[in-house]
Amino acid sequence: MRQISRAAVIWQLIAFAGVVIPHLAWLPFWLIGLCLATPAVRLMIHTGRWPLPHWSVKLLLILVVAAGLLLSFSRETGMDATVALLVAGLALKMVEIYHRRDALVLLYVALFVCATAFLYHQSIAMALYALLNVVLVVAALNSIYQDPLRTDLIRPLKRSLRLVSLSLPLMLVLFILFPRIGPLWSVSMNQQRALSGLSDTLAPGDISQLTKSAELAFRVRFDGEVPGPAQRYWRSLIYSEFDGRSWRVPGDYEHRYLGAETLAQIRRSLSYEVVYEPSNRNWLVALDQPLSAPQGMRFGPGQTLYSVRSVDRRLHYRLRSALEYRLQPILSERERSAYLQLPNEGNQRSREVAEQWWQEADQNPERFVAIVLRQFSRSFTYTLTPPPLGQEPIDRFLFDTQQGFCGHYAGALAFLLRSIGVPARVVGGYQGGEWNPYERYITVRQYEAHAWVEYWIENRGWVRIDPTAAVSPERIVETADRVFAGDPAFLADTPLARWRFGGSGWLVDLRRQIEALNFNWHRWVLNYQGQQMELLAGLMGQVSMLKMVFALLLPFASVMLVMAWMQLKGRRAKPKDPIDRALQRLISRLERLGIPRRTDETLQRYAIRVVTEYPELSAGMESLARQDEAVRYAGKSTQRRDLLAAINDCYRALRTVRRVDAEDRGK
Amino acid sequence: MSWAEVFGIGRLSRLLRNWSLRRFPRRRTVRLTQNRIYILPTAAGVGFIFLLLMLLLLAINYESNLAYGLTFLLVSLFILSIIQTYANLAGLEVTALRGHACYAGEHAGFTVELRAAKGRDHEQLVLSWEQGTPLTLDLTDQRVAQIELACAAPRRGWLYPGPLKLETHFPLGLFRAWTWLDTGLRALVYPKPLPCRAPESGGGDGAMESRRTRAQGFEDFNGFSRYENGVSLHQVAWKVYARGQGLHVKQYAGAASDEVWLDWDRWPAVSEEERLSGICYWALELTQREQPYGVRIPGVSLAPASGEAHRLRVMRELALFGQGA
Repeated sequence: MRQISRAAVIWQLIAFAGVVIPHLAWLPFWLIGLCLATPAVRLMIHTGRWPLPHWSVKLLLILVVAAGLLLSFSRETGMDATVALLVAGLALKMVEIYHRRDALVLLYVALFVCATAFLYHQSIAMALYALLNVVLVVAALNSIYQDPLRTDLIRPLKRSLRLVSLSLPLMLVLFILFPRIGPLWSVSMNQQRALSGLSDTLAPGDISQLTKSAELAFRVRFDGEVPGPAQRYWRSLIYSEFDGRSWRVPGDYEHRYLGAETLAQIRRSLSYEVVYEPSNRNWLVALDQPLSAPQGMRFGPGQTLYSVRSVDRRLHYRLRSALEYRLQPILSERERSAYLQLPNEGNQRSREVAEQWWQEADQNPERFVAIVLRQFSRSFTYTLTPPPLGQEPIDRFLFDTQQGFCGHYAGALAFLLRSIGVPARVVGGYQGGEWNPYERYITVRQYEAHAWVEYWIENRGWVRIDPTAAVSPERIVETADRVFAGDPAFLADTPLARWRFGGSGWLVDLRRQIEALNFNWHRWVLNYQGQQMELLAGLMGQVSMLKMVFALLLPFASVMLVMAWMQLKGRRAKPKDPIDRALQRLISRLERLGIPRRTDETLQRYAIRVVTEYPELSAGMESLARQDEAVRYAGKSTQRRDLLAAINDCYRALRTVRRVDAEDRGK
Repeated sequence: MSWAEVFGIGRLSRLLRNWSLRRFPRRRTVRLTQNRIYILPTAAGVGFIFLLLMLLLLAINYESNLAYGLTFLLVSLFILSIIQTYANLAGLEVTALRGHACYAGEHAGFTVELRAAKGRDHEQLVLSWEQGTPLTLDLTDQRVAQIELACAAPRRGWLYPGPLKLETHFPLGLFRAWTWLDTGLRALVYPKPLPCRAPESGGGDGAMESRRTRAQGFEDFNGFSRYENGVSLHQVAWKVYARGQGLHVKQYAGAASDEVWLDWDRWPAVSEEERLSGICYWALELTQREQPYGVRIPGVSLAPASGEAHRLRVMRELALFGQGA
């Protein structure tokens, strides 16, 4: 049992602090207190003010902490509880860091805790911070193995920096080549809190709530053609049930028969990649009509895309979507009744006016829709802060307030269509998106949430109609932030929104560049899995076992070789003093010319010997020898400068001598 | 203690050692290269592998590429530390210089010179004989170091310390690199000096009585004189030195120039080793008092003399008595 040195104790404290910091944001208060208290106690012991604690004190501490953990985390079994347990263990161990083995336990657990931080944050900053943590932990590990008499705190850090930086190339090789396999058992991320985003009910005011948030919803990168702003309808949910006040997605039972729909006569399709932010919900987004559902996903009602598992982490998926098509040209009885469902009564005035317009339109659904939209564009206003509607919301909206956001218009139009017997549904999703010119992708934020309507026409299937376009056409063509730039309710919850969003300016450019960097990070680092196989297949043609083994071993072996070479070649010890450095350069040059300086030789004697071989150097060498003596015995800073100059003069002179030599030999 | 020993592979380790020693001829100076250096993970290294597995499990189950990255960083650190630990021994030049005589029951010192490889540092090198206390040193600023390595000497005669073990856990303690060197060093172990009754002189010329009185006069302490170079350290008055009054030499009244014989045959009849120990004790005593003495043991007779050279000769004979060489 080796006791660790004092410098090593300090290093354990540093490593502990580094590893715990990222978790402070969510740990319970008492545990944060413990994390502050125990290093403080250890410092008191370190400085000799307190003795090492008695075993009874330690036992008491352990019991108290165990009780605290049970109280705080008894209802959770996820990662939070595990990490809290580990952090508590680290904090307790901190008190009794004394032997080498204590330190090892601390550091190994610290490395694991460092890795668990990635379950909470995956940003570039977090990755860099974790790298720093590894450097600190490795320095701490080195500090317990170095000479216990060394009190230098920087030395282990230097060693650690060297080790970690040398490890990076091999890490890269492993990262790229190591095959990724799916989870061995299912784990939950233990984040039950609802994240902002669309919900499964749509009351008239809901979507305007979302416009307060500039949070990322998802990002999309198209392989080829990028659809224009007016075509960017990202479908997410189908609201099919209306209870007189709000719209609701079909329940689990209806899910079964309102499933995938038939897609026919596809004329134009695009393929793209979606990076979807975690929502803790099952629904996803797809541009218009996706052709097929990727693995782990399925089609929900109205051909919307659902994930099998709730999306508790960032999700990447590739899709191909149709922009011109016929969706479900034949409607089953069940679907028809589901998409015609209305409460038996309520909103009577609306039903009556719908019937009136239906007659005006000669019972033609398209003409009917045109009449409604004309009404909307004539006297309705589009606003983020509509007045409350109370009971009979459709009536009040259509005849009294006439002010609303996309949810109001979509809900009202769907109601009107259903009341005259045209199947209709409200679609929730996002419209638009910001184009990032640096990485050529589209960013869609929560404030771009949108609702519109699909209604069904015999033989043509479902047709999209966006009533908002009639009221506020610019909302569809422009990005949301430009449309709402003047509205105080827009992005009310986002600091600095005025400058970061909307309009232009260097701050917007900077934001876009940072976002582009993050996008690449998410696509290439966080989402890196399995691509290496495609990449290898592309490089080697047919993949065979032998080729695979070579492909894995070759980079590995070459990196290993380089590492070994760098380790074993040693380093030329460079003197810190510029005079010594210059002198060493001069002498090694002379050595190569065949006049090595003997170890017992003074510089003066050596100079004499050099001059006998190279008379051309006599002036320089003499001055050098004289200056050296002066510095050695008088040592003024001006003389040091002269000596340095003399040495460098000699070096330059030597170079010309050599050149002359070479020319002589050439002749 | 290495984990190999913990798991009861000590015998295997001895076999490996003997095989390794047989592979190389004995040489005074040895440069450590890859065919001499062995390297295995330590218990801490095995713990680290366990940690790596845990991290890999975390990365796989949470499909977190950053956790994969961290795991791989630590894997490459682990692999790199093989090279680092190896490099910490490789290139080191070990020269076995000499062994120093001692008395049985003490520790014999062996001088070994270590020379660092060009341009590289060696840290936390642990050198040990099988029967000795290990010694740890760094070769960083200092490129060459002469160290004295102790080995327990339980019996008189030649002490062969066995192979020299050089090992290191530096820099991260995950690996242990070690090597065995057959240095060929040996040290002479003198009999343990055991105080006993004053010997009877073996002169045989009738002068015995007077000599005995004189012999008893050995104990008469006469005072101090200043220490001069070359005086045996046994005569130094350490108590005086400890009081901070400088180095002084004890002077004895009986230290006249009379001859004394330490004779095996006339020694009180005790066992062989005890006789040798007794003779050794008196030889040291007499040397300290600068009184000439002669030694007679079976097969060897050393004429009375005094001084360091005589003492060494006597000690050597005593040490090797009955040992053939």
